Amino acid sequence: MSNSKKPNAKGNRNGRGPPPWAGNGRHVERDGDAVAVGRRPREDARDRVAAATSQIDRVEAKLDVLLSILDDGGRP
Amino acid sequence: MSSIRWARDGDHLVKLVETDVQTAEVRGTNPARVLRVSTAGDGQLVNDGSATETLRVEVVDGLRVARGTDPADADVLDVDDDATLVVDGSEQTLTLMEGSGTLDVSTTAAAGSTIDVVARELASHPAESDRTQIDVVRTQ
Repeated sequence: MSNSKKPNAKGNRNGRGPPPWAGNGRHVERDGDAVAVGRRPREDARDRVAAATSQIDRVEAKLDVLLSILDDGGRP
Repeated sequence: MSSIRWARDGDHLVKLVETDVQTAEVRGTNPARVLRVSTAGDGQLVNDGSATETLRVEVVDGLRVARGTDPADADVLDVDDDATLVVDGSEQTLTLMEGSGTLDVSTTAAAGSTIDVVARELASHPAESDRTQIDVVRTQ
C-alpha cells in the first residue's frame, strides 16, 4: 500500500485532512473588552517542554500541559 | 408605471409597490436594524500578542439601507442591546450602548492567516448580520 499521501494535521497520512469539527486549531480567549486569538495554551506548554534547558523548567511545562488537558475534560 | 417605497413595520420593513391602480405590500423579510462591524485601523494585526485592532459594532437604520444608503453611511440607532459576535469561530457577547460597542483583538496566530469576525445577531430584535476580516501580519 502506498504511503505517499499528504499527511494531515495528525500526520496519519489518510489523505482526508483534519475533520471539519477540528476548526482551525486556534484558541480565542476573552478578557473583558478584549479577545486574544492565538495558539492554545497547551501548544505553548508543549513547546516549552521541548525548549526547556533545565529539569525544573521541563517539569513545570509538563505540569502546564497536564493541567491544560484536565481543563479540557481530559482530552489529550 | 410603478414605484417602490420602504416603510418600517415594527422590527421589520415593508416594501410598498405602488402602481396607478393599487399598492401591494411585501412584509416581513428585511429587518429594520442592520449590524455594521468595522475595524478602527487598517484591518491588519501584528502577531506579537500585544498589538490590538479595535472592532466596532454598530446598529444602523435598516430603513435607510433599504432606501439605498450604504450601510457604512447609515445613521447609528440609539439602542441598547447585546450583540452576538463570532470571532474566529468563537461566540462572544458584546454589550452595545447607544447603538455601538467595541472589542479589542490581539493575536499570536500565524502571519498570513485571517481572523474572521461576524456580527451575527442582536439579543432583543431581528437584525441583518455583517462580517469583516483582520489580516494577521508578521511582527516587524
